[in-house]
Amino acid sequence: MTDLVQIIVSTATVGSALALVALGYSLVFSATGIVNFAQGPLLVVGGYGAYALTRAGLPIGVALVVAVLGTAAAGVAVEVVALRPLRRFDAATDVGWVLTTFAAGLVAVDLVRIGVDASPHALPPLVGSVFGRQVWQVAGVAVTPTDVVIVAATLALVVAVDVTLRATPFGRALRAVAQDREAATLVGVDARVVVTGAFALAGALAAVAAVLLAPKVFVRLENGLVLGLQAFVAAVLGGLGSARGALAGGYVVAAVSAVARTVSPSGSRYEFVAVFALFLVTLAFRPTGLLGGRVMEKV
Amino acid sequence: MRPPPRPGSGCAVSRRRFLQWAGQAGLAAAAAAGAPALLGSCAYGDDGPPGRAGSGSGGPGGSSDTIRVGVVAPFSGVGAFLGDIVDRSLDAAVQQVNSTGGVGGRKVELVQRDTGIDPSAGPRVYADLVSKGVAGILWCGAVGFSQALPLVKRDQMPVVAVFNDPFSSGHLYPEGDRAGRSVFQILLPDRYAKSVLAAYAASDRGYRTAAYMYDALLDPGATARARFEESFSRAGVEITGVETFSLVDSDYGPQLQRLREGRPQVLYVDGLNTNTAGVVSQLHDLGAAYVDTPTAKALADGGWHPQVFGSPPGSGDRSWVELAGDKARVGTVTAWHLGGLVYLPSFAIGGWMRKFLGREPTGGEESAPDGLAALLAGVRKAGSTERAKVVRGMEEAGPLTFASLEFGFTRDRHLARTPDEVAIVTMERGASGPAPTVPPYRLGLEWSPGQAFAGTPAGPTQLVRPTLEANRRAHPALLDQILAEGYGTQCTKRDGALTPDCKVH
Repeated sequence: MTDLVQIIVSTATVGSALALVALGYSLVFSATGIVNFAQGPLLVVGGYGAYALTRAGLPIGVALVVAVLGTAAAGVAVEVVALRPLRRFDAATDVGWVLTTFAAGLVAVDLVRIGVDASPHALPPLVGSVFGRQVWQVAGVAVTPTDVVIVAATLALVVAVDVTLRATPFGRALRAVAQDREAATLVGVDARVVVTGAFALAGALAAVAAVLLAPKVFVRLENGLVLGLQAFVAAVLGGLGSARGALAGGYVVAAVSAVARTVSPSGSRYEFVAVFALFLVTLAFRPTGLLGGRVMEKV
Repeated sequence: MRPPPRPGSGCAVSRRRFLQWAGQAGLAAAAAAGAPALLGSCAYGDDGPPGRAGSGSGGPGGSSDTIRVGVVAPFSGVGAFLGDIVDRSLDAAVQQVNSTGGVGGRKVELVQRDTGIDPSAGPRVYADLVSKGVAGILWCGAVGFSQALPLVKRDQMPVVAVFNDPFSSGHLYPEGDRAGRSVFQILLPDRYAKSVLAAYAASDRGYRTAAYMYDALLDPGATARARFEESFSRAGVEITGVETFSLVDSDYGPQLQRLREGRPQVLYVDGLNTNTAGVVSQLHDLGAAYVDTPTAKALADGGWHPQVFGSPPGSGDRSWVELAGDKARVGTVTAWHLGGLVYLPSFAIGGWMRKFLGREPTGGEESAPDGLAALLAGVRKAGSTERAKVVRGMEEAGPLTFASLEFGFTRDRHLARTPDEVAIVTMERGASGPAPTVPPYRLGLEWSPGQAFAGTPAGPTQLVRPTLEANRRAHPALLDQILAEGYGTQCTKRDGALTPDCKVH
């Protein structure tokens, strides 16, 4: 029983964390058809930004708001320096964006290292206790308010992004630009604004993720690489461009890891093998991911 | 304070395989993600980009008025904060050396090269440093070290392993031949650290059971695990569980659930500071936080409350405490080298850092300067920068005292440390005062106004009694000073001797 509860709790918290980061990948992909490899580093920018603000004495709530705005601006900067110089390109065949977004991410992390520092840091939790309780024991498994907040916030953000993509003018414009930028422009969509908006939102999401996850994973430079790449796997597994796919991918990756570590003391040795094996198998049979839509192109 | 040291004297180590671990951490993450090719190092130097053949002015060792010393460390990437330690400590040390006449009138010039997190950068930066005509190399991290060793051995290049541990791997001369005779080690070996911690657990604390958690990505060959099992088994401690994690883990729940069944009295966490902080935090959440005294333990819920033992990289400084916050427990211990107790005012490195950089050492700053001192002592002894002569000079230079404690190498010993120099270090809280024990104890002098830890909320401090006799054998004058002036955590003195009954951790 304890093992099962442990797997559920681990999957819910770690999976939500991955989903939150994966959401940023999906958002940018929805607008541009590219994967923003600076998404992980934006997590670093948001986290260290919030840390610098709390160190300066700001409450964590205020730091979160300022970090969200700042990281949104950093997201825009990534778009300006990594994507715009490429001008119009076919994301499928002109893959210069892989290098430019990756390079932008490296620069962002080094700027953080130079501007703040390179040490890992803790951030105070947004919610330290609920009704005076700092932890609940569920069948011998510890559940903290931070765990609950991560899961709840992730679900809320996934729903919000999903609704935004499906049912708002911005979401429709985003999808239109992704499908055919020229056609979207002809019908009055300002493609540049839409793409910039997607990068800004992805940046904002990264900052939210960094602050929410800090009590679990801390604020550290490695998060850009480690969480960023795990979340990338989750996003692709679930279906790039789909908010619900990001959620599903996050939970699948986390579940595989949790099961591996629960069934064996050496599980950590094999969790990546298991995750990537599943990743490859999924892509072999469903190239668009678990919840990705079927791609139909008019020829 | 000591008199102004001469270049090429002394050292101490302590802070750990930090560079090694952090560099490997980045490597492992990249490897796990299948993206190593995208993560090339950003090698740089003070006289040109990597890979470019340097002028190598003046031939081997530098020009007629300079001695060039290569410094390899992760100055970028996830290990960059550790490269910063190397950078600033050597900055202070070189200023000290050059302001006191250099080496035989020649100024010391550092040539830094960055491995980032890319092990393939090792041979490249090595070749680049050779082309610059360095007299020797301080290799401050494991990244690229083993890849460069064949070249080092071929060239007989004098290399000081500052934050690498070839000794514990059996590769340090004369025990192993892989590194060749020109490699020397400053770092406290993990082998010694685990051995002393095992003896402390069994003999001092009377523990009979222990468990081990380690990073399977950083230790894929489980060599550190083997050292744990060997050390604790030899001490008569039963190992009730061994668990793995990876640096990408933030959730240790499954592992702790399994370990709880065996109720080990010791939980040894072999990882980075984030791992120690994460495990300690989740032990707290599970209601399994360490309880300090036998009395308190008996009054507690009767549950599992293991004492956390950490590796020097993960528990040797205050950073893990800052990460874990209130969940960090006083009494968490690790092993350290006496010379790494940078709060002791008799160690020169603190004064140099204040004088030249205007800042306090935070830990580990003595290691690279002592490596530099060893190299320069070899040059001085050799009277030239000819490699074979420098190696012999390092072996024959005799005892050196430079940044902290005396150390030295011989023909038969290329390791700067001895088992008698290992100290137990415990986490103490300055802000909230000593942990409540019966009878009570006082915090060491280092926490007093005007001392290094004044106003510091928490930090690692020496647990004097458990290794007192061994430490006294190695450095009697230092231990007399510590005892007389009251540094570290000292138990009740009875008839002039420390007794174990005032503070048991």
